[in-house]
Amino acid sequence: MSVTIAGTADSLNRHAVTYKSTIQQDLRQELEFENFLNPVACDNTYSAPNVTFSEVIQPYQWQFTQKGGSTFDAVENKLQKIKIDILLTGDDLEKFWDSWMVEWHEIGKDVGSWTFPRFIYNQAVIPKLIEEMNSNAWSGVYAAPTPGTPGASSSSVNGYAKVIADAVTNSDITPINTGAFVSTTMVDQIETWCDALPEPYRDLPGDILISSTHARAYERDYRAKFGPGNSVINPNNELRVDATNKTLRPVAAMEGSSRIIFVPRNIQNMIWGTRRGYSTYPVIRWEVDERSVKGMAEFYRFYGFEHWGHVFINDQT
Amino acid sequence: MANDKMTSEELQKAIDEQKKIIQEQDAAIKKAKSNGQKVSEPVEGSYTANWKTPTGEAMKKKIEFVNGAINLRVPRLDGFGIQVGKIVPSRAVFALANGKKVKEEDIATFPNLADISKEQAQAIITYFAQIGAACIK
Repeated sequence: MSVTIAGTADSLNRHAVTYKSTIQQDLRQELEFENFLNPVACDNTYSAPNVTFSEVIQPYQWQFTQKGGSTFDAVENKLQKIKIDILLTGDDLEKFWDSWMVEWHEIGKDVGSWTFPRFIYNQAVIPKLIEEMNSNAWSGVYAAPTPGTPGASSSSVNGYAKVIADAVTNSDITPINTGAFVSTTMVDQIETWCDALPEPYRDLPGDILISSTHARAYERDYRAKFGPGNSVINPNNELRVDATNKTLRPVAAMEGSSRIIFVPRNIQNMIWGTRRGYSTYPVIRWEVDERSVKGMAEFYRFYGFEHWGHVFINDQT
Repeated sequence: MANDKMTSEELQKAIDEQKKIIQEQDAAIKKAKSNGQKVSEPVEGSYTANWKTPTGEAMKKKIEFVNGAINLRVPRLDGFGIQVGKIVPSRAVFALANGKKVKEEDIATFPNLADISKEQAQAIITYFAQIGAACIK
């Protein structure tokens, strides 16, 4: 079997084109925030009007008595251009084929054409993309790269944590205080937080995004207080918050954070954006260059909100 | 740092230096805001809260808010009813808790302030102190 660098790049490109929809679907399904939240598309900046009135109704009198101070503003979500530059050297490929591939057997498959691209995509590229995009969606903080030097993955885009922190700093969002979470009072703290939502939103059905660790603490506190451990068959595996129409939604990417975010089910507000006319997820182009194969892709992202008035968070970061 | 051995001239010089630093900081904040940068604004006011811990320990603390916490949401406390979850300016709650008059501009923007009593304002701040809210310095 003869394997060349040019052939490797060719087979990687053929795999990328043939399985584009499958690769994109894999990415979409595995990305916690992007699978759950609404995507929007724009050319550069997604701008949503942020208009509020203080109070508009008043008792009747014939004179015009102005009331209801209005605030006209907009929430602007600017796309960040992100890229992938991968290099597979001829030495790496030689080692792969001569040392490791001999141990592989795939009955009925054209090994020379397909195994390597599938391995690279399914075992290496896609899992790593998912891991980094998930993490960046929450904890990314954009920093312009030094020319000629690759920047950190976490510096490629501002994640929700940064967007929320900036909005709190700017007084765009006013948190509902929970104080620090305590494992033995989690249920009470979450219920009190739900009860402190403004009346129009208090009973809206929706999800409360929370880190997996705090979600587990909630379940265990619930179990200790009302569940099977208390002689009552009342499991709460779906992590509902009783009598509030809300359930906790554990997000692994939020690990280490004590932030909780209420996402009403019938209001599109917490969004992520991509560039209009461009591929939503990265599509890697493979090119041969000086005893190596280069993989390159560009894509766009922002993580943000449409209307600050619909964002409900707690005070912990 | 001022101490007992400073002369009045030295003290005045130290004050002038501090004033200059504050002016420079104010100018920097103003410039940053005009450029669209996000800046935490300081919160006017304080309140000395008294409460008892679940173990019966008496607590007393002067409560001030961190920069940027210029508004707060009314917490779920007994007797608050429809007010719960509404946004009110922090400085107005401090003013109410200390028995002072709330600024007209705050009432115009947040009409629900008129329904918050002195005792309720005190209860809000004390509650935040009890739970260790992040907005407290």
